[in-house]
Amino acid sequence: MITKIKNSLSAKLLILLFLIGFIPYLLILVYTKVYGQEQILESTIARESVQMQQIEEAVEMHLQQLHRGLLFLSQLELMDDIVVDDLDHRILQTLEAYHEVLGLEATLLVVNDKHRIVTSTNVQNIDKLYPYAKSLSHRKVFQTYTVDDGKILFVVPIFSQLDSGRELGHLIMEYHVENLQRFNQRSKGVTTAMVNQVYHYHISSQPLEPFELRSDLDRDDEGETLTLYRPINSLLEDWYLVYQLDKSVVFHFLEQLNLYLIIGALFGMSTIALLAFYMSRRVVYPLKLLQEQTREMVAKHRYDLKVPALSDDEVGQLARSFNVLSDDITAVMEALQKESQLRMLRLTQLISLFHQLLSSQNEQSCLQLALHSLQDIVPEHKVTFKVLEENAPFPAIYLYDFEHQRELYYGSLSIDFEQLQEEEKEFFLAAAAMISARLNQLRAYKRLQKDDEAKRTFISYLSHELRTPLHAILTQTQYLIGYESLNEVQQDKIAHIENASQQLLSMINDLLDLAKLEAGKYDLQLETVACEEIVMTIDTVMQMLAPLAEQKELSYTLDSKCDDVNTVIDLRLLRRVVSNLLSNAIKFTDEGEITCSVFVKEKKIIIVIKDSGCGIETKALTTLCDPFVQYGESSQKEKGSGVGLALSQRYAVLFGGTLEINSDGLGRGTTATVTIVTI
Amino acid sequence: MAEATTLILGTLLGGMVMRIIGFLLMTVCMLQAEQWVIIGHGSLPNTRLDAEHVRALYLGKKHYLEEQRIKPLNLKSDNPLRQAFEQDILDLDREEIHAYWIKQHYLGKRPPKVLSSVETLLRYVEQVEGTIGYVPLSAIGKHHVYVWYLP
Repeated sequence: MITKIKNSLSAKLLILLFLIGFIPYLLILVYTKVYGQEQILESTIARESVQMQQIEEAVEMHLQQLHRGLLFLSQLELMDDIVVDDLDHRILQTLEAYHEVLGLEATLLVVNDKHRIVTSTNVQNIDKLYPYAKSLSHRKVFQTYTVDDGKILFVVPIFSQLDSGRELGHLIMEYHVENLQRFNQRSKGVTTAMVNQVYHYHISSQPLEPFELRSDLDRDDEGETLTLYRPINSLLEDWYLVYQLDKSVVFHFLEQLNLYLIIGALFGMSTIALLAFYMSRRVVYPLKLLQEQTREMVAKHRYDLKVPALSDDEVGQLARSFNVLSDDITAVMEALQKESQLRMLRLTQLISLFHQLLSSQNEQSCLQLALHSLQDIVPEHKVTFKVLEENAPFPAIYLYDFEHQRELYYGSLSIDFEQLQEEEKEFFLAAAAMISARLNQLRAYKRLQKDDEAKRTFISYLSHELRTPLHAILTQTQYLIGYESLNEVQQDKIAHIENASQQLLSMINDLLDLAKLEAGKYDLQLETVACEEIVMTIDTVMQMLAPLAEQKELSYTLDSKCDDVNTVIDLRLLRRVVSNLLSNAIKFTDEGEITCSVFVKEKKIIIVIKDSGCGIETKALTTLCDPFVQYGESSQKEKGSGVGLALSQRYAVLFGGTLEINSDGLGRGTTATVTIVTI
Repeated sequence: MAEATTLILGTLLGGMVMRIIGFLLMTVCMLQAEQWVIIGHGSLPNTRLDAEHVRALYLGKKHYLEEQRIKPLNLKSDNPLRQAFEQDILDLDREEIHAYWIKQHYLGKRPPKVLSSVETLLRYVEQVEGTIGYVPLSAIGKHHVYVWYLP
């Protein structure tokens, strides 16, 4: 999902527009939700506090008024009538008049210094002891007491006018707490009350929700209601003015606001969503078109695709720029294609030129062919061959002088070389190099032929010319041994001469054979033979060499396991190979055993000659079959021309087999394997 | 006609009856205004008073007898006893007394305390130290007061 959004510009744009529209709403909502209540609560409390203050002042004023009234009454001269128990009811009349004026639910009464009720607006109480007498003190001030049967007592002491300030008693107003009801306000969601916690008086406009009144706080906002309270004043001890606000009413505005906000947010969001959708379509559609085109362009390598420019805004400009880019790319691609075609053409032309040059047999035809071909390839240039100064600015042809090992200037291709483009120059330089190469090749080939011929002539001549005198020597020595009566010393010396001559002859024969082989003049006498015949041939050879092995007291065995297979082979050559390998084995083995085994494996006859001799170093194995190579120290001890293995290998190849020499290293013996393909 | 004559006659007769009744009442009052005596609270100094003393006390010209402050008490002005007392002791008529106290008022003096009834007066004198008042001799009865002056 997130990746999809990341990859889609329209989704990003949509989300961005959505967020721009949505976040302010969200912030306002959060603000009103989180802080709104608090703020409204605070402002409500502040407002209601002012109200409460006013009410408190009103209560205060009311009480002060009552106080003043009572004080006035208490200072009337006729209060002295307490002394005579208000015999003339003058006090009573005054109290009643005052009571009437007050219009309150209250009882006014006068108590004498014996706490007996002298007179009272409630006449039934007259002459009785005043029940709250205990709470009356003798302080000379106005006092209020709240008592338990729903009354507040306003008490003013009465002093005699006549009798020099003697305290005669108290003027008391029993003020019914219900009177406080008049200060309660009636409005929606607000309940006001005068509460006395000590006597549990709750004078309220409507029943109060339960709340906790704490002296250290001024509110209780638990639950559904907010309760504000404050002590009324010093005149009404333990009385509190309580404001209880219904939170739902307080927050009504906020809830309404929230509701409108949410509705507004929903409406706004849907509008924004539509707008965002439309905008994203408008902005993104051409971009999407552009993107699809580029994707197709890249996927199908169609660089000539165009994008419609739908508008003149940035996207339209982008589309136009894209089209220009597309044109440029197409042009560049075409140029590149042309160039690569030209290069390919030049390459194929070079290859064909070289191919043609290869078919030329001598220098002249090579040059002619080259010039001719070049003329065909670049008819706009006239190419000739000239021998010029070596440093002339033309493609020069050099030949390699093998004898002096240096390059010699041969000639140059004459064209307007400086006028050519770089690629053309390189082309002609390459052509010149090719001509040089072919000419060198031709010369080397010619020289090689000459050398080979000389070598062959030399060897055949040498062998022929050497053999003739050797035969003479041999004939003469054999005659001397056979027919002259020589003494023992003479015999011995002649025998030495004969032996040396024999060795020399065999060496010359070997050389001659090698020469013949190299020259490819060896005459094969191929015949179809069975495996048994090969075994027999090997056995014959082994018999022949047995005395040599016996001299060294070597174990000397032949294992054979032949299936019914045939092969085409020159038995003469096989005999030579086997005898060579066996004699080598005997030669290089001083003790131990030599085993020869013949078996058939994977349609091949395999002859393995294994000795326990001195072995061969691994690195020496590669050069072992080269002519005139003798292995290691043995050359000093043993006699040989070093041609044996080379001959053997070539013979083996000649009859369609292979020869491999293996050794595990010095002192570990050697294994020679001859493989012959069966038919 | 006869009805109107009856009405006028009735009115005239009614007026006459009222006058007769008033006269009779006055006569009764005069008869009731019997002899007064000056009584006083028990704490008063044991001195003899004469008419001059009483007059001075009641007109506010004198306030003390020896160390004792004297508080004279009056009855209401329409009380026959007061009228008799004023005639006898003060030797002033209503207008003169009225004028006198208006004058005294501006000098910061107040007339004696006025009480509604003889009974109240008696109780006051009984209760309040230094008070004096005039009552009919017959009214004293069992009240614990002292008669100070007999005219």
